[in-house]
Amino acid sequence: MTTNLHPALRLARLTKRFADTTAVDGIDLTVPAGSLFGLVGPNGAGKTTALSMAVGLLRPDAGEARIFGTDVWRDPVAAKRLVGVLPDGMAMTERLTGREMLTYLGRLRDIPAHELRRRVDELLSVLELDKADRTLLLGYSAGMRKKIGLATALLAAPRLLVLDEPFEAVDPLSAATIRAILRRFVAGGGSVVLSSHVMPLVEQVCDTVAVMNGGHVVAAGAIDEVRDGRSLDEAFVALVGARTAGKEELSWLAS
Amino acid sequence: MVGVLMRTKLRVLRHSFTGTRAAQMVSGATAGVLAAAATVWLVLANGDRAGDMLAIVLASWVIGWVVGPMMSGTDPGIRREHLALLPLTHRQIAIALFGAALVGIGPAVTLVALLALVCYGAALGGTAAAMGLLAAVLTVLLVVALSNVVVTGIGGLLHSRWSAALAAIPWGILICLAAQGWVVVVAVTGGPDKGLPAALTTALRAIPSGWPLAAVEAAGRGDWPVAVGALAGLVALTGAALLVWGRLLRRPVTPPVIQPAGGRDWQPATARAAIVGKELRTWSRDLVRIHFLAFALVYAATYTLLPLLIGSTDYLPLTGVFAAVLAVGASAHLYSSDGTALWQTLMTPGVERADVRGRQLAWLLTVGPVAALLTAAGVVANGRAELASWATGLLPVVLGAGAGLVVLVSVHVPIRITDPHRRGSNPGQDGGAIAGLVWLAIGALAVLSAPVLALLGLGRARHDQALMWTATPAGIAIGWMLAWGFGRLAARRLARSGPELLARIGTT
Repeated sequence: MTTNLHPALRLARLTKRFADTTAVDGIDLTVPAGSLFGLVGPNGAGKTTALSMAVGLLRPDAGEARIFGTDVWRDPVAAKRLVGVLPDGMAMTERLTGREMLTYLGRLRDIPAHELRRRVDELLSVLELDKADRTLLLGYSAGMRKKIGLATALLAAPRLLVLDEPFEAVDPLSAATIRAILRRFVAGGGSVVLSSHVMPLVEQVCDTVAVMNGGHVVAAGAIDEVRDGRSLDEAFVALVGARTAGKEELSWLAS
Repeated sequence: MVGVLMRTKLRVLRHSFTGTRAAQMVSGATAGVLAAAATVWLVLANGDRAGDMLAIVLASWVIGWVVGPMMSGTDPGIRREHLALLPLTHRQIAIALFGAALVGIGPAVTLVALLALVCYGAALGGTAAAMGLLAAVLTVLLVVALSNVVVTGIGGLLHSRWSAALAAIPWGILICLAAQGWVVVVAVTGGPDKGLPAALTTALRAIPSGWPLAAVEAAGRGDWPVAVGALAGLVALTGAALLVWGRLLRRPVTPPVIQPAGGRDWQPATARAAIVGKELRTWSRDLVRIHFLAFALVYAATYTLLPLLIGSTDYLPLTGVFAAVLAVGASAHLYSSDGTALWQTLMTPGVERADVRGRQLAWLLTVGPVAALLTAAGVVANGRAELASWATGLLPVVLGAGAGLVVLVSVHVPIRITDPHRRGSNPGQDGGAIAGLVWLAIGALAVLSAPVLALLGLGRARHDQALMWTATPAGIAIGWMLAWGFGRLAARRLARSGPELLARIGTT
């Protein structure tokens, strides 16, 4: 397939401004095909904005995003066939059960009925959501919402997964399941981009990493290059710059 | 604490004065100022009947405050959830929220309108005018407290489909009575020129909405026990409302979740069938949507049944048409009501047309049969062929244009509503500020139905039954064209500007 010649995701000079803030400032980023790519950065670094522009949910002010060579903003239909997305904190079709939502979205993606039923059963069972068959999404806990969101992203067997904070609010057992799913997805030829705040987790899961700060990519490459002999946590603090409270600050806390 | 929250609310108002919100606030304030001016004018222009007019208008303002938020939704700016972690009793929270609720366009406009009490009092003497000012301020405090008690109370009542539908009954009847009260007046008095009967004018002053007026009039004639008593009554009722509010705040705010029946074997055959199925499920499981639809039915039924009091069945055939018109208004924020769930549609390649068509079909399947049934029942009960032609001409054009408008308006005029998973099921707080869209959709319906109305009017003027019946095929044709055409425009808009729509709806 010609798409294999291209990186899974390529962002070029991607820019987004909100009022007088530049959330993402002309970033360039390449996610190699077959990689498990971690995007890390402090709060407000521009990770969510960048990922939203990368998949076609937020129109950039400048620059381009390509998924396996297909321009997301010029040919959105073709690009969206290649990608499964888990946005952070957004609503879903809340008045459906998890099974109903997966069936609904699978149907929209033209997955044949018998195959769809098999995938839905398997996804619900693997992510341990099959017991919540009579619960509307509105009644799901934060962790369950992440898991059903991941199931949504996986459902159409995309070639690239873009996951915004997939491990947030997920219990350790489910996190292990998700890690296993992602590794298997990559082993089967898929590519993953995930954003996270949890450095040890990114170290454990990802082979490539980019660090964003203030709307810029401040480091990117194979995880060992970026770590440069330190832990990712230490490398991150060195790249982003840490601020610790001085002695006189917050002194009232002790009183 | 009250002062802090009042200042915070002021800041919230100032910050939310952008884009569509600003337009909504300006149009709301304009409508409010016009209503306030009309109130003052009624007093100045009505001479010796000014008191009675004021009694009716005061009752309307109080009813407006009590039922308004349930129908059009409000964003309180500061919610009880924001204060949940503060070490305050429920009563203290109620008082703090009360202070915040007093800061806003609604209370300000109401105060201006109630200055009519000062104008009215001025004619009775200086003391009565001063009493009018005091009574106006106390009345604003009362209506704001009552309004919040009702909104909080209803939120607690809505926990099932049935309660959501039943809760719409009193509001539907009350609002319709406020709009159509003349029928009752005519029925009771026998005609518009005869003035109100003494029993009614006394009753209008005896109910709480009439207390400020009673206080002004009593001050005018030097009857101090009644004047002070009426004011004390306003204060006591406000205090009682705050106490009840404090008690209601003890209830948890988690939204009720309907348990769906079945659904395991749902296997829609096509993309459009999947969207229709999703929408029909949402219509039957979303308590706010159920509440708004039930309101449309109750209002329409009250509107057409009320003239029975004066022996007229002429409105009955139009019950279905009125219900459909109100249902269009209540659905004009269809896309916004799903909040950021729109991302799922945007991420599914090439699905925009199926999404729009599926939503249109589901809306028609939800509203159409009920409207048709009401129309049939009304036509049979009325029995006059001439009126039946009005109903059969207007219903298809309203349903068709409505199915077009609910998608077209909602993709063009997005409104920010708290995301479904972050809000409760209280139409008073969580329905979104949809009043502007309701009027926009109803106004558009009136314009789009004009050709059919013209045929009907012309036929009636010429006593030409055949011409009047041509309105029915014309209504079907125009309705079909509008549903198709508006749906096409909506799908194109969604495909071209989906991300912009999501950005404007998004609250995350």
